[in-house]
Amino acid sequence: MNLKILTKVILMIALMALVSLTPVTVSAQTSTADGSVTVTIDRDSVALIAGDWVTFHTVISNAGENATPPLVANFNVASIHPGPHVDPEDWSPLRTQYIDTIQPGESVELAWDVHTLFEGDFAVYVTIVSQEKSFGPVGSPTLHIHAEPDNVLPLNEVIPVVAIVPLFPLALLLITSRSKRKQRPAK
Amino acid sequence: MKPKEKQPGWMVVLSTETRHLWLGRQGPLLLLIFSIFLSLYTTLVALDPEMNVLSPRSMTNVTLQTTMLVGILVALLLTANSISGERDQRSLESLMLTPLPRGQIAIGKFLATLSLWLGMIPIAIPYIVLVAKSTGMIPQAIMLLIFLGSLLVMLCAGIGILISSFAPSNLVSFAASFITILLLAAPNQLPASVRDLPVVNWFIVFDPITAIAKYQAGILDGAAWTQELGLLISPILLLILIAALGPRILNRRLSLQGGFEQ
Repeated sequence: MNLKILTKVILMIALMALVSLTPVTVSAQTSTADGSVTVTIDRDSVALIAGDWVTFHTVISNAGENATPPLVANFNVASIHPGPHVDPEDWSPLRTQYIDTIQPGESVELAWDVHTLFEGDFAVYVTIVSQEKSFGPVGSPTLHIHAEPDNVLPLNEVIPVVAIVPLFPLALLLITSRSKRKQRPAK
Repeated sequence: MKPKEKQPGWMVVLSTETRHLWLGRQGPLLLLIFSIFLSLYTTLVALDPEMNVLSPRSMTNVTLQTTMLVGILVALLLTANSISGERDQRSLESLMLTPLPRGQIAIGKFLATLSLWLGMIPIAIPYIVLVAKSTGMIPQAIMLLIFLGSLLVMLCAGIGILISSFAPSNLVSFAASFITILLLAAPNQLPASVRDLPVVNWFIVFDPITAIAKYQAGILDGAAWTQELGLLISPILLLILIAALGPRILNRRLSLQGGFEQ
């Protein structure tokens, strides 16, 4: 008798565990689940000097059978290595671009300007989202930027100039002070 | 023997004011402060990792703007004090009793102030050369400093002297002059997205100070000197207006107490 109850309890627990571990399936399907909307990027890597600008293009294509909802393309940038703080607002004057519906078989090209503020390795990508909740985000391939440091003002060239130039107005000041003192009548 | 020609009134004021400025140590002292400021600025830029990786052209543009800004401030400091300072020290009465037309007094003081800018240019050149070296645009940067800097300084000095002529006290003159120049220069600090709005863009073109800044940035970005020459229309027009009407207005309206009453 006790064994039967124990078996029932074990079965119930096993049943409950089975139910709780079963993944919940999402009923809403995204329009990108079939890969109908794709984003391509015109280059995969670029090497430049920190401070330079780079322009790249993304093409958003609709290979599906239905028109897409109005889309939002958002630019983002991240440092590949920990350390530098990258604020995307400072790296691009235009981070978000809005696109109207893309008809089946059509595509839209967007241009993006990026200003590499400092040296390092960075990953740049564009994400497509929509006001329609059913539209899942679509990411572009990553553009890798390698920025070399470029010190415009090397300190060894700066020091002589900043040390010597003020000596000229200082000399002028001393000369005018001296001549003024001479002009005063001796007591 | 030909009799010696009489010096024009403004020339008498110019020579007196220039002598006072340079031999009175005020000019050399301001030049020393200017050079120390530029030395500190350049050293800080060289030491600041974020500034020191700006593109050479951007850094040249920023350095030129900073140099001109100091030139403007010094010119404004002197011109805003020129007439209202005399008014505060009660020495304007004796100046107005001289047979000189009042507009010529202002012209003499205005030109004396510009002599300081002429002293600032050779001091600024080594710093500009240092920063612009890697751009290969040293001649352009020096030309911009000389021509646009002089245009800006003349404009601001003209505005300063007009305000000083009508301000009842030095305090009012300084406050009004600096606020006017700050308001004219403020659109430069607007975010790029706001500056691209058509209304703001038109304002930037018509505002003489922002128009000069825009022209300068264009040249340093590789534009031809004649490409955006239209941007210089508003500053040149305003300068002509100040030069043509300023002395006439002052001849009639410069008074001991200040204000606009005849």
